[in-house]
Amino acid sequence: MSDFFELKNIEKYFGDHHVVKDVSFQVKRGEVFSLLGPSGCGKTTILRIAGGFEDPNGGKIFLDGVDITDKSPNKRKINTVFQNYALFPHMTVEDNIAFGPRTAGLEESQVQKKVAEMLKIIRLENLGDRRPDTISGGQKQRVAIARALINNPKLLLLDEPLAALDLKLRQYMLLELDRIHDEVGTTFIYVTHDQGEAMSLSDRIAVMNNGRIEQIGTPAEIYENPHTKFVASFIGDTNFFDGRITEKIDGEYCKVDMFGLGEFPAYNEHKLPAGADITISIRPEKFRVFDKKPENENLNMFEAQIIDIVYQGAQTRYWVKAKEHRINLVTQHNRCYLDYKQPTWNDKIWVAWHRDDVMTLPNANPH
Amino acid sequence: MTFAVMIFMYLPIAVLIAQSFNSSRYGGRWKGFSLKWYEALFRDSSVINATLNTLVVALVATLVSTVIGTSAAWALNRYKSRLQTSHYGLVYAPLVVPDVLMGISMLLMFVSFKVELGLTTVILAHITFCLSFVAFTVLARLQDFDFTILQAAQDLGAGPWRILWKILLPLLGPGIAAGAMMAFTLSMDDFVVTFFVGGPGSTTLPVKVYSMMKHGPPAIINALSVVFMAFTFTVAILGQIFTRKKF
Repeated sequence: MSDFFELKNIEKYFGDHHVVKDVSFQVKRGEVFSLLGPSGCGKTTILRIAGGFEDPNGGKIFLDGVDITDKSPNKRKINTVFQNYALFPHMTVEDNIAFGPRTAGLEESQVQKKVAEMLKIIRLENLGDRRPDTISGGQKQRVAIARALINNPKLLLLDEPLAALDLKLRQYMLLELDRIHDEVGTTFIYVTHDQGEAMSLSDRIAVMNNGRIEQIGTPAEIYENPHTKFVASFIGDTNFFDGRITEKIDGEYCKVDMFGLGEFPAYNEHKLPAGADITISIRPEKFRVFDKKPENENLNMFEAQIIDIVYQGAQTRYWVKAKEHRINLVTQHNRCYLDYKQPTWNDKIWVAWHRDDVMTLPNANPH
Repeated sequence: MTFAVMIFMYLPIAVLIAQSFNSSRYGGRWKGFSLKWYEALFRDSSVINATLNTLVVALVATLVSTVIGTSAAWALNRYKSRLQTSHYGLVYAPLVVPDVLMGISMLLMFVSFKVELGLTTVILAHITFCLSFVAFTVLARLQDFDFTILQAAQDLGAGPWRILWKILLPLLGPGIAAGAMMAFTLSMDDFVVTFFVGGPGSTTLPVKVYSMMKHGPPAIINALSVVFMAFTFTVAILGQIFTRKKF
C-alpha cells in the first residue's frame, strides 16, 4: 500500500463561488476512498477535477507519482462511472463495454475476450446484445462499471453510483460493488451523500462540508472520534451539549461543565485549554440506563425522566428529559426484552456514560 | 368525415394525374390514353432547364442551410447567454413571416445592394428560410440528448473525431438528415419567394408551371405537375423514414 493518487491544495471557483477550498488528500493503492458530504459541499466537483472534466484554479494532481493536472480526460488512466450511467443509447451492452478497448485500438479478438470477461464479472452474460433502454437501472449501473473497468484504470471514480436506484436495489448493488472491488482490486474513489453507503464500502472516508474536508479517517474513526461538530452530526445520531472546560485533570482528561447538568470528567481529544467553550457530543448508544443510582465511580451520571419510548426490536430508543435538555438514547436488547422489568413513561431513571465516550469538540471552527 | 376530407384533398390530384394521360389537348372529355404530353414535356428544353435549376437551388440551399442550421441549433442548445432569446427569435422569425413579405423584403434588399437577380439570389433566399426549419428540427433532437455521454466517451479515451463519428453523428445524424430533407422539399416547392427574387435564367419548376399556365398548352402542365409531384413525394417519404428511425 502506497500513496499513489494525490490531490494537493486544490482550489475551484465557479464565478464568485468558492466551491473547493484547499482540498488535499492521498489515496492508497487498492483502497476504497469515499468523499462524503451533503449536496453542494463540492464532492462531485472534486471528482470531476480528478477525472479531468474541470480544471482546478489552483493545486496539483498526482497519479502514481506523475503530475496529471494538465492532462485531458482521455489521456488519464482514470475512468468514471457517471451518476446517470451515461451509456451510449445507440450501442448494445457489449458495444458499450467494448468502446474503451476499441478506442485504444485493441485487436477485435482481444476485445471480444475482455468484454466476455467483464460480462461475467458483472453477471450479465445473457444481456450482451441488448440496448441500454431495454435493461433495468441496476443492470445499467453494472454495465457502466464494466465499461469503465475494462480499461484497467489505475483509478475508478464513482459519482453517486447508487443514487438513482431504489432501496432494495441499492443494498444489493452495494454488495455487488464490494464484490467487484474485491475481484478486480482497482482503487475506487466513491462520492456519496449517504453515510450508510460510505461506512459499509469504504476503507477511508473524507467528510466534506462547504468546500472543505473536515476529517479523513476510517469509518470507525469518523464515527467514534469526530473532529468537528459537523462530522459528529452528519455521521450517525448524537446529542450535543453546550459546555466549558473548567480544569485539566492530566494530559488526557479534563473536567467539563455541562451547563445545568453538572461537572464531569471527560476525554480531552483536542487538548483544549481550561476555560475553552466547547460542544460536548455523546452518541445515543453510549448511554446506559439504570433504574436506581449505580454504584460505579468510573461512570458519569445524572437523573432524568422518560418522555418517550420507541421499541425497535433489536433496540429501544428513549427520549429523556434532564433539566432543560432533551436527550436521545438507545439500549440494545442482549437478553429477552420481556423477561425483565422495563422502565416506562415518566419513570425517573439514571443515565450514565463513561468518560472516554464523551467527545469534546472545539466551538470555533479550526478553519 | 375523414373520407370527405380525403376526397376533397386528393380528388383534384387524381384528376390531374388522369388528365396527364388524356390525349385531349384541353382536358375535359376523355379521348384515350396517351403519353404524348410526357414526350412533349421531355422534348421541351426550357422544362429540362427549370428542372436542373430547381435541383441546383435545392441541393445548394439544403447543403448550406443544413450546416448553418445545425450550428445554430447547437449554439441555441449549448450556450447560455442573454443574447440567446434574440438569437432564438431571429431563427424562429422566417417560420412565421409570410412568404410574400419575405420575397418582397429580399427583393428590395437585393435591388438596393445592386445584386443582379438570378440563381445566386434565389439560392441565398432559399438558404434563409430553409435554415430555420433545419435549426428547429435539430434543436428538437438536441433537447433530449444526454450530453454526459460525450464526457463518458472522452473518459473512455476517445478524441474529438472519434466522438464525432461514433457518438454524435449516429445519434444526431437522423435528426440532421430529417432537417435536410425538409429543407430540400421546401426549397423545391417554393414559388412565392423564388418568384420575387428570381431573374432571367433562374426559372425553377414551380415558377415554370405558373408561367406555362398562362402561355403553354395546359396538358403539358398536367404531365409536368405529375412528374414534379412524384419527385417531391419521394423526397418527403425518404425524410419520413429518416425521422422515424429513433434511438
